[in-house]
Amino acid sequence: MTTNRSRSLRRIWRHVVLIAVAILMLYPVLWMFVASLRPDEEIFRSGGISLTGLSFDNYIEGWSALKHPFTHYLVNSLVITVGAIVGNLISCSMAAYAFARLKFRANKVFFAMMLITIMLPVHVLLVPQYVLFSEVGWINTPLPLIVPKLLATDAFFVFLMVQFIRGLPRELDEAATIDGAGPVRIFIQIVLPLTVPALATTAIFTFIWTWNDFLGPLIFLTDSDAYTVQLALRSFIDSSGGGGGSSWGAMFAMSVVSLLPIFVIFLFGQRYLVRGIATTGGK
Amino acid sequence: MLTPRVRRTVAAATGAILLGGTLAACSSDSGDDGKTVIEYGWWGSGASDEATVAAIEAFEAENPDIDVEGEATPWDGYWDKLATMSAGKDAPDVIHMSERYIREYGERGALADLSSLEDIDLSTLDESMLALGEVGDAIYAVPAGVNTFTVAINEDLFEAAGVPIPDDSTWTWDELAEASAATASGDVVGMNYRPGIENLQPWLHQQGQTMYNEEGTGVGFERDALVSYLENILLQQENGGPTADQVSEEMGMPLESTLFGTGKQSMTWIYTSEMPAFAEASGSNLRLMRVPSEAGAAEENGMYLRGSSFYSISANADDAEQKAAAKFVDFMVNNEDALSELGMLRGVPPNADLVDVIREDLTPDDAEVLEFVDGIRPELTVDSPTPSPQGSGNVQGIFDREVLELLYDRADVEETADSIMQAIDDELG
Amino acid sequence: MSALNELAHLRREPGVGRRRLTKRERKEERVALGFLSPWVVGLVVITLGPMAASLYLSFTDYNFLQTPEWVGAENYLRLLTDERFHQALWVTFQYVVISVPLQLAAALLVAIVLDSGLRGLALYRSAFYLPSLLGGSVAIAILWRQIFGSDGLVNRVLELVGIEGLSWIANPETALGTLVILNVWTFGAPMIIFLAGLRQIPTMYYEAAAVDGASKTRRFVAITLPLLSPIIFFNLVLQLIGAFQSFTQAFIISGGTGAPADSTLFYTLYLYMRGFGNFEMGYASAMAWVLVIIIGGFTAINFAVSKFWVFYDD
Repeated sequence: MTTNRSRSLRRIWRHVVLIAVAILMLYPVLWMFVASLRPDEEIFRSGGISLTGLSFDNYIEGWSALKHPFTHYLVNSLVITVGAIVGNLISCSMAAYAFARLKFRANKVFFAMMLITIMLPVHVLLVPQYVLFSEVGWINTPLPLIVPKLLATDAFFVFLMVQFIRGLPRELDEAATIDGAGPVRIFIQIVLPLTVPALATTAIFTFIWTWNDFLGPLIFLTDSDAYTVQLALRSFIDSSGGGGGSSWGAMFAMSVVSLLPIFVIFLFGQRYLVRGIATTGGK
Repeated sequence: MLTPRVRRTVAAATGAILLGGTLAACSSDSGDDGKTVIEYGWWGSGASDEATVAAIEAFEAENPDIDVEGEATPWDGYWDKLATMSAGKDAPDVIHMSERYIREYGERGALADLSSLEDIDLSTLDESMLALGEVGDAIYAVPAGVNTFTVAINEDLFEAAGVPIPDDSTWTWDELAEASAATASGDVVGMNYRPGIENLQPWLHQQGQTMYNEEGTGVGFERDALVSYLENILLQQENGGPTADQVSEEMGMPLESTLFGTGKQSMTWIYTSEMPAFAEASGSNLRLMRVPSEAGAAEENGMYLRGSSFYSISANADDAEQKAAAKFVDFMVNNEDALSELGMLRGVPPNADLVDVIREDLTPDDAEVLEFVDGIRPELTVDSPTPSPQGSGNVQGIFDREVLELLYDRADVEETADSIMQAIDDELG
Repeated sequence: MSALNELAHLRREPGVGRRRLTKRERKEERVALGFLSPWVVGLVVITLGPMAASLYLSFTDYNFLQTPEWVGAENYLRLLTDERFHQALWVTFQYVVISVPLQLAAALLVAIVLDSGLRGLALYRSAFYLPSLLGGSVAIAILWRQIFGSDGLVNRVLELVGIEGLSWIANPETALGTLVILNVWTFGAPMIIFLAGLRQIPTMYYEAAAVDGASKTRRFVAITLPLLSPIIFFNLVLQLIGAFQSFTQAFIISGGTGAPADSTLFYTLYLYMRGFGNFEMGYASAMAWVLVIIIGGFTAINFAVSKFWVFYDD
């Protein structure tokens, strides 16, 4: 028999546990944020997250610690990320429309191939891609990281959009066809506008994954002038020997800076993220 | 097919991205005012950067038609980066080289033969100096400085512990272990192991063996020699040496953060050229000691001089760049102004005449290093080894890994010796 | 339907009947291929072409500076005796087999707790999801390296409860553990998928079971798990594939070396070291193909075994 009291007790207990776990999980990130605002000596003194001794020195120091001011690397990352987003939005929506709405003999075969490429480890492509891009002189440019997106190689988003478009009612399409519209017009004027939620999800995920991408830039961007934020952070950690005590502050500061865009996107785009993941999971 | 509007938009977007990308790709190898621009990449940080930059500026002042773009990369990422850049035929024109990689890059055609470049005057250097960077008939690298790997002690800590400083011309390995045990107490740690090629070699030389075999396809020593070397390390571990954790944590740290660099370790192995940096970081009085020997005699300690680092020139630079690069390297090796900026930064300058020029202006620490190197020269019985075989760049990593396993007691001496030898053969074979 | 359902169904359907296409159908095909043209180009140039090239390269000795030299199966044979390769397999295997189940268990557990109609669901969901967005970044790897160091946050906190902490990052016994913890920390994404799945289980099943006197545990085992099994399967396959390819965290935390003593030498890290550090590109290509086979094998086994525990209710 469950009484009201035991039910609310259980509820409170659940909240307690959840809050504890949430704090435990977010604590390291919070701590890093607070540590970045402390002078170096104080970072190791306590494990607490009280904001004692607020100072932006770490940010100032870290900003100019590498060959270029950190803004340079933020711009590099931004260029690649925006390029990737544009590429994915255009090419993946086009491919998804074809798979979801158009009839052609190779549909099933191509679709299966596309699904398989989702599971393909990217490492089997890296060496030849490096050779290829090297031959055409694209190493140390953003191109090896952007052009594949223009060619719908992120099959995950194609799949996401296919699922979404399949869920759109066909009546509008049919009405437009009766009015004499061809597939292209239907795509641009009917399907695309209705697919905006999936496009938003694509854009947001692309942003996060591209911003965090490390292996790709590591291989294709060898000149430190071309470094993205992730590579810049790594050379930061190298030059201070993995944190020999003296520059964790600056490193944390720049780490926080590198995480901010993701955090902002997360704050404003949560809805799309959650919806996007949930739908791929299996409706 | 696609409506004109869509087509145009897509074309515009693609074009914009490609254009932006191509602009980003355009490198400015030819300067605007007809200046030749060369790139010089070295490894290092902090102090080495300032002195090198000053030397670069001195060169540019004397050669207004050449621009040198310098870039320092930390040692950890340096070789990966150089490998990738060389593969893309994009290596810096002047490359800071290590003897472990001279043959690798030279024999693969990535380095120019310096003896064939007119603008470098190699006649100022002694045969033994040139041999350090010579492979066959070609000279792929010229030493920027000469040093040796030896023991250093923290005199202040010895004094605090009341331990007399051993006579380094006669001391034995056992005496080293004793000194380590005697000075280690409380926070202070004893002899650091820094296991690897550089202190294995004197050990091998003391037994009449060499690191690599003649053909460069495998080890040049016998298993027993390696086993005794490892046992010596364990002996030091029992005599106050650092714990496995301490060793593991120090890997990859800049020297200012190591135990010796923070004045918490009484003895260690260092490159002579590192001594001034350690002295400044720790704020202590340091002293360089000769390598101990079994017999207790300096002539039998197996020490040798090595190139601390080298200057090489990329074989893929075009003629104008190679010429400018050659002038630059010649400047760094033979020019007084360069040496007055660099001083003993890279070790003892290979140009013997210039050493006398800078001798007066050295700091006490630098002077001590020079004195030490001068002091051991007449005692050397071993020729400096020629550049290590291809694949030797990875050998130090083998020691880092396997000896760490030994220190953590996850492998015994026999297993470790086998693993090391097998791994070296794999790398070189 | 999830991607995996799709694939499964694709196989089951009979082939399309063959007949001549009408003019309109032909036109639609042309349009379709037009829309697909970027994807096709990408498939050939970016995916299939390089796959074929790397297969070829895996049978050569190629250092990038000189032309590839055919050596037959030598690279693959070398893998058999390469100690470090075995170590990389072992490290990766441990990582996958330990961290993925743990991560999914955490995700499922938290999803179940959240599914009980609590207030503040959205807030909790966000809090648990954020780490999984940040987890792939270099910044978090840097943070992890610090907090698990001998002087780091974790040991500070342990001090408070009187436990003396090891140097987790420096000790070869525990270094991999820190990476496992990092992967488990990012349980947010599978958690959201579980939540969505839990939502879809009709409450009347639970109510009926409760009326029949089934205990909480019994209800979980007999209702929740089976109905959730397609999603568990989906998460399992995806997370396994992802875990095998894990790279960034191991690279940053170990300084690119797999240190200490190769205890964090992930497969992809070793591949990178050989391929782009030593420019043994033939060897790295062989490693890449072995990885494809391993992942493909694991996935195939997963699919095969799934018949025994996954219930599709369609």
